[in-house]
Amino acid sequence: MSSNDVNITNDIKVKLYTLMLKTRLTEERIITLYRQGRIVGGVYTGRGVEGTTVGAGLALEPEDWLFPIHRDLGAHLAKGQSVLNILLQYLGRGNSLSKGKDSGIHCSDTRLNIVGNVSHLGHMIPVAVGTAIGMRMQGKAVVTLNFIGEGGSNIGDFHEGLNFAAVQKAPFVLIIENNQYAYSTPTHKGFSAKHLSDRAIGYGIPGFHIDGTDALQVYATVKAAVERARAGKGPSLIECLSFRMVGHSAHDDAFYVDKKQMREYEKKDPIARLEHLLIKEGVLDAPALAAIHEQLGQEIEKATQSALDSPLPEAHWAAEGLYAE
Amino acid sequence: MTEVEKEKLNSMREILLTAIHREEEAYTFYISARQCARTPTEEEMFNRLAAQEMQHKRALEIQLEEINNQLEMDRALSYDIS
Amino acid sequence: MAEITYLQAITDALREEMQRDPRVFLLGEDIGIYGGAFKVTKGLIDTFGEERVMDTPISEAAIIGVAVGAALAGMRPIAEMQFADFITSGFSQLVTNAATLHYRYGTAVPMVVRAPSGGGIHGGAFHSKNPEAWFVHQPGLKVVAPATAYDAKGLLKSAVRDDNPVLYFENKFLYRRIKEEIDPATEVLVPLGEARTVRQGSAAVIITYGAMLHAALEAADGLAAEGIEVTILDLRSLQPLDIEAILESVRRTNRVVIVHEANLTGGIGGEIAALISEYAFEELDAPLKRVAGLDTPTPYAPVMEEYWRPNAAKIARAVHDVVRF
Repeated sequence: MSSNDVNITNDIKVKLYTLMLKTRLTEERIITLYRQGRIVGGVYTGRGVEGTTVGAGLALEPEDWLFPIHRDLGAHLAKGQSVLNILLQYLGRGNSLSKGKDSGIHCSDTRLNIVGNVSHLGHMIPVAVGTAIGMRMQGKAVVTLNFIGEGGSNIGDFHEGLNFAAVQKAPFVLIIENNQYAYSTPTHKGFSAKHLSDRAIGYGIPGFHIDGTDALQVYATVKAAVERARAGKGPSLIECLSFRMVGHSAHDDAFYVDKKQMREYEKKDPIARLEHLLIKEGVLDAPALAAIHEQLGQEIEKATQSALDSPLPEAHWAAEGLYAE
Repeated sequence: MTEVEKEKLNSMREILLTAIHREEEAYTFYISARQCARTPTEEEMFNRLAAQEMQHKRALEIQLEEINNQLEMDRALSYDIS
Repeated sequence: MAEITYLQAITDALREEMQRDPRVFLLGEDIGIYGGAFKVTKGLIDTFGEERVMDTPISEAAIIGVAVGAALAGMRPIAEMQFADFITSGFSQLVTNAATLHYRYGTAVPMVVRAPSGGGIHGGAFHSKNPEAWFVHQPGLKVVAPATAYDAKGLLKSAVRDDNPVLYFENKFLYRRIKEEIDPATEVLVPLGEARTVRQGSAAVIITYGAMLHAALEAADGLAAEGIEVTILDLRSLQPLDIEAILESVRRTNRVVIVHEANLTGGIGGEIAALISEYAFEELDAPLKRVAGLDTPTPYAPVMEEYWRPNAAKIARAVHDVVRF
């Protein structure tokens, strides 16, 4: 199945738009809370990458497993995660998904088949491959989707995990979010290859290099790859090109970033692009868009309040839960 | 012994296997010789001699096991698939 | 009842657990048709097929990461490191992913990593390692080191049934040297966290595990001829450690020698010594002694390896030291 075979209904287009906007607004709220000193530790937002994260996340079925990394709030939300659960995580509340044990976006949700990441991002690749193989061994037609940044893709586990997946024809899809900066490292200092998707040739699997700011193209490409994997045709590598519109984390003012390039990508903002398309195609009009904004705003406000009112964890939980009984 | 036989015996494993076989033969010899014993003392003598051969055999077998263990380990260390 | 070797006991444990539970599968290098570098998995592929006796690429990080992922999916993988030395290539997968998942998310990771450890086989620095201390130090892992054929079988079966990541350090020196009668009709299960008193004597206690149990037994025979009767405590489990058994043995003998083949500094002996000092200081009639490998990589030349490695003579000398204090 190729991306051309994927039918993107208006319903899906609206979902993509709504989820991208939800992601953007939620992250803006997270940054506000961070600057207010209510969120401590690392805050990593994905402004500009929403087309990739939401486009890919929405291409999964409920029984598929998602292995997101730190800029993939869009994927968490696309899989069905609530803004409340995300805020509880960032605010380190006792009723958060990790009960305060892990930070921010590092959260698992077994009901949604989402596995939280470790900070050694590339280490999730073999794990995601293993889950795909393990599901297949149990006769389940399940696909696992994992993300890695273009910087993170240079770690050894990328090679080992993808090679293992290829040899095993694992039902696995790996997205490289090439937002062109790994912390302060621009791509030309990270790798020499013209396209990271060319690495797929080395593993004998299909590789794709697409515009990560085009949510529709991302959705179609990932959906085709996911269904190919489900049909037993093996893994795919999809490189989605975008631009990191903010610093590496909330503390980083990104003075090192090429400002000209950033201004170019401002014009390619994934949300604005899809919004123009929806209006142009007559799928949504201005009042409908305003209603979506309004509804999302209320949802986020309500979630923020509820999260702030939630209790902190008990300190002694730090000593508990090391082993499964 | 002949040159051909010497060639065969140039590994410790082969030496031990031959020595073990000889101990077994000696044991069998003493057990059958026991039938010629005319007195209980003589019978006891042959029993003791036979038992000694068994002890020698056991000592040699332990050495052989040790060599086999190391050969097995060397094969694994050499990543030898032959 | 025929005697079986330590190695055969491991094979039997694998076969029995795979027969008992279809979720149990093996993955490692050369374990399929070749039967493993040491022939531990010989014949298993004929019974269980190549999906459950999976030959992998040379990728220790992926082997362990895939095992983690498969465990998350509901399988119960047993990964094999061809030599324990190569576990370092997958170190991060163990300490970052396997060890922390349950603490952070309450997610069980039921997996075993088998690793042939130990020297005395002229293997040099990279085929002789005893790496257990690194993993005892990482919260969230369990570590066992059987010294007898019975324990090799019983601890492996228990490890497979444990819902946590368990490192099973089988000792290659013992593979074919140790034989025991084990009734194939009974279910052999040795609980984790339980030490075994192998010998009773009031002069001193030798606390040890792995291949060194047999050196300790040899030393004990020699000491008995001099009228010195020692207790020998085989730890069997290093994490969890049977602290009560250790302290009890100190109460009974008041003189302690700790023996492990792994090199001295940072080895488990230090942890045991600290525990004894903290909880049984007044029971000691002499400072304790540790007998361990030299603080160097393992040398290759047999005469140097002999010098490096603990043996019965060194253990007996240490017992003399504590007895004559």
